[in-house]
Amino acid sequence: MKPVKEPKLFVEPRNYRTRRMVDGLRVLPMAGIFLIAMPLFWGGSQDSVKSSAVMLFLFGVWIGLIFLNYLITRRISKERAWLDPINSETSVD
Amino acid sequence: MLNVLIGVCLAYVIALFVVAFWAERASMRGRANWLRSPMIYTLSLSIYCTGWTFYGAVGYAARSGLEFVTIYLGPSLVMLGWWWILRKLVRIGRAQRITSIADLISSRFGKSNGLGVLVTILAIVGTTPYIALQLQSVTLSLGAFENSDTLSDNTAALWVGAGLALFSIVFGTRNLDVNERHHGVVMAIAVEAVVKLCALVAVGVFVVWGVLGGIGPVLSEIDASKVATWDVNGNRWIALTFLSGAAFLCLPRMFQVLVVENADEGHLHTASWAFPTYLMLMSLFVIPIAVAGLKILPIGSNPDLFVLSLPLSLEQDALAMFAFIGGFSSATSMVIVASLALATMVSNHIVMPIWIKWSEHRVREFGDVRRIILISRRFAILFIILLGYIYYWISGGGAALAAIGLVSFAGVTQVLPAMLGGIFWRGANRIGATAGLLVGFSIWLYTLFLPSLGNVYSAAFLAEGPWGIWWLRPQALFGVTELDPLVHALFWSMSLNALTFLVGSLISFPTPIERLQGAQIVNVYDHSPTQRGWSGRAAQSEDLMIMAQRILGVKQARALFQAEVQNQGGQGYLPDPTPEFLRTLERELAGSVGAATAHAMIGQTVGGTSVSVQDLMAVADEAAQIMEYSNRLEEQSRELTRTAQELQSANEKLTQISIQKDAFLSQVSHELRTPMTSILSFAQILRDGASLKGQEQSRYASIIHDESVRLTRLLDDLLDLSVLENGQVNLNIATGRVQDLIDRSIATVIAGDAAMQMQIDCKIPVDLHSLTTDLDRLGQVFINLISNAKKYCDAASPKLQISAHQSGSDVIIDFVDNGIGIPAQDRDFIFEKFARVGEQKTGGAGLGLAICKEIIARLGGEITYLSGHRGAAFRVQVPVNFHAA
Repeated sequence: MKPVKEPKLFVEPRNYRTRRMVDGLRVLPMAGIFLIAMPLFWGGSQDSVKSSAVMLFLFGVWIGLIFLNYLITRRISKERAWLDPINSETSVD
Repeated sequence: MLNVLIGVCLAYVIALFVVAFWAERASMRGRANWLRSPMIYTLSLSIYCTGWTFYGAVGYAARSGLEFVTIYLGPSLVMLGWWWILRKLVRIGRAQRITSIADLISSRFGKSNGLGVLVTILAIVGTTPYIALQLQSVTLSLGAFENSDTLSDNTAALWVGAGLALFSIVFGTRNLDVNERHHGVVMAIAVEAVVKLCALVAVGVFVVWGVLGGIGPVLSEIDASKVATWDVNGNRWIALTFLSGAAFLCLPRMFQVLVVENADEGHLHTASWAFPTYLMLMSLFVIPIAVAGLKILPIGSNPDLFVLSLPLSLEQDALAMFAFIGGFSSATSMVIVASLALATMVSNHIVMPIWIKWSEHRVREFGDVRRIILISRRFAILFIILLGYIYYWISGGGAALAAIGLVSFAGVTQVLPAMLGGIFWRGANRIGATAGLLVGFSIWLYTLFLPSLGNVYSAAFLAEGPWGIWWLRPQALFGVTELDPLVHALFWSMSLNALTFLVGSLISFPTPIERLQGAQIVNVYDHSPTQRGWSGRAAQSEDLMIMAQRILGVKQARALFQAEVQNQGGQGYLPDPTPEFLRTLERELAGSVGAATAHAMIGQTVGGTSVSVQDLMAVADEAAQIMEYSNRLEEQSRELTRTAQELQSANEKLTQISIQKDAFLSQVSHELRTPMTSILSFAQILRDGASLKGQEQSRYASIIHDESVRLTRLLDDLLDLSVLENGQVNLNIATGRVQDLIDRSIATVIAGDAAMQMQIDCKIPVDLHSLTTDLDRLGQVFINLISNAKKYCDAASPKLQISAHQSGSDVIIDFVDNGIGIPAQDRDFIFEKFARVGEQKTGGAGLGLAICKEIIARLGGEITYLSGHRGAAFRVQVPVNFHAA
């Protein structure tokens, strides 16, 4: 029998930061879906919405998401050692 | 021009061969580290951008504006959300040595080969048109350079196909890597990825700055073009984003590069931002090129070829050539990886199982499994590319083919519910997955694939449905007419697929192995090390070695076995076939031939002693039986112990009785002897003593008489007891009051000894029932008890208390004195014959209480010693009315 480890309720600040980064990473694609769908609600009945505007918006969103993802992922990659506890997906936070 | 083109193509292909060959060499020499960098991984993902996207995106944009971008946005979102799905897929792929998407599905659902075959067939059906599309894009692009018919389209396609097959076979099936990784292929693809990106960006930069004159003019040109207004169908926008994202996960070639070729989970971190960047760059110049093409080129030019025809019309032949190479790269890399991935699936899930079954009884003589796998893969590559060519040839390469890209996406996407359900939901099972796949695949065929072929359905069939059933119309299923045909098909196939999968999983029960695999895969982050175990008892290490050599190759197999020997701390070449080793070996083999096959092969070698869960359950049952049996034994043993204890106490009692008997016999002989001696001696005196006076004579005679009486009484007691014990006693039933009986008994005792000092206290309730029993015998008992008290009570002022009360149909009479009572250890014996408490001067024979007990038993009652009183206490319990037994 393995000794049952008492689950901790909180983690140390550095680990905490990493976990919040991961949370951000999880939200990123959802934000992406929302933003990508947004041009569909532009303009209403008039057909005055310009392709060029939508294109600029979409590429802006795209670049923004990539940049955010880059920042978070770089941070996470540095903290790979911290990730293993998260990998077990227990609910310590 | 065409000759130059073909020359450049050949040179490019040769360069690719060199790069691939060099990468293989480097990896074989162990210098492959940088070949395995995150950037190479990211670039290899670019096979998502095929010839269809390279040329077709511009055409798509020229026709429907920004909608093309969904094809790139979907995968970008999946990559950005890598933490959700890709991370898990990659981890599972590494932990379970997954070789293809069919292998993943088969592994997850209990190593079911049926599912593997199903997914393989689905993948082939979904991919073949796509390969045809690549061949078409190459021939179309060739046609853009040369309007003459010097080279017919079909011939060009055939040559391209042959070249690609050669490349795939040479670099894809050179060896059988345990990790199913192909350094040469990946390296070549990375180079091609760079080439196609550079080509498209070069054309884009040329168009934006060279033709249209900068970013500002480009934007105004867009506003002036026919795609100026943002006019997309919302359903299609969302559906296409979803479809491309899903296809990114499910396409066999994408799974190959994303999961199977992944060497390090960390590469995913880089790719998660680098690959969306790649996609973004690939699509950045699409709209400008389309707008420029629409503006500059004559009306009626094929927008799919704007990337080539724009530079050509502006006399930029070198740029056009570069663009052509870019398109060629896109097409070839896709075909290479797709055919490789499909060939792995075909060989692992179709050829190997058949071969194993077929050669079940002659594995040993047949030779090299390795060779079989490689040969089957080579043929599979040829077969798949040929299939693509045939499809291209039959469809005639028209516009119908251009639409097939998304149709193909929708087909392979049918795996998505089973895949996601499989990795996130432990309740997903084989029945549900199979049913879901079949339903989704059938709906896809019916509503999208067959209509896309152009002339399969008649107009009446489309308009009215089969046999006039309106709700079965292929493009308006269940009366849904408001959706675009693609969205309609995607909606119905995915939703019914997922629903069937869900319901099928909910109502059926998984096999134990499915449940184990499910737990392993869903909880892959927990690193649960236990899989199924192999019992190595019957397995011969040598057989395993031979088998491993066949599949892994001699060197790798030896290295593996050697490492295990060291691991086990043994010597020699062959490790012990421990379950852990067998599991490791199975995983290694699974890397080459797939999980199901590896499992079957080990099972065959080990002689079918795979410890299946069923076996384990049987063992558990057996164990339960053994437990029960042992419980019974324990119970019996306890019983025996109890009996032994009883026997022991009985024995002790017997020994005690025997000792008492001996003591009594000596007592009896003494008792008999003493009066006998007096009788004898006084009789002698009387006989010889003539001189005796009359007074003396009469005294001696009376002594003889007394002693004789004593002897007679002793003999009477013995006789009485014997009669009672043998049940020969005749009872004289009469009715009388207890009070009278007690009074008579007391009187009798007192009569025998006028000097009695004992005080007798008698408490008999007046309303006590009269007794109907043998009053004389009962009186005898009372007399005995009273005289015992008189004899043995050693108190200073002896006192006997007699009380009586009624209890139910019995009368209870207690005799309690104030003496020291009977010692606890003697209480067990007092009712035995010849029992005497201690060595007492009063010369009883020890028969009194034994006689009492026998009498009371005859009268249907009971006499007991009452513990808990200070003095000796006896309780007599007799029924009010005697009933003869």
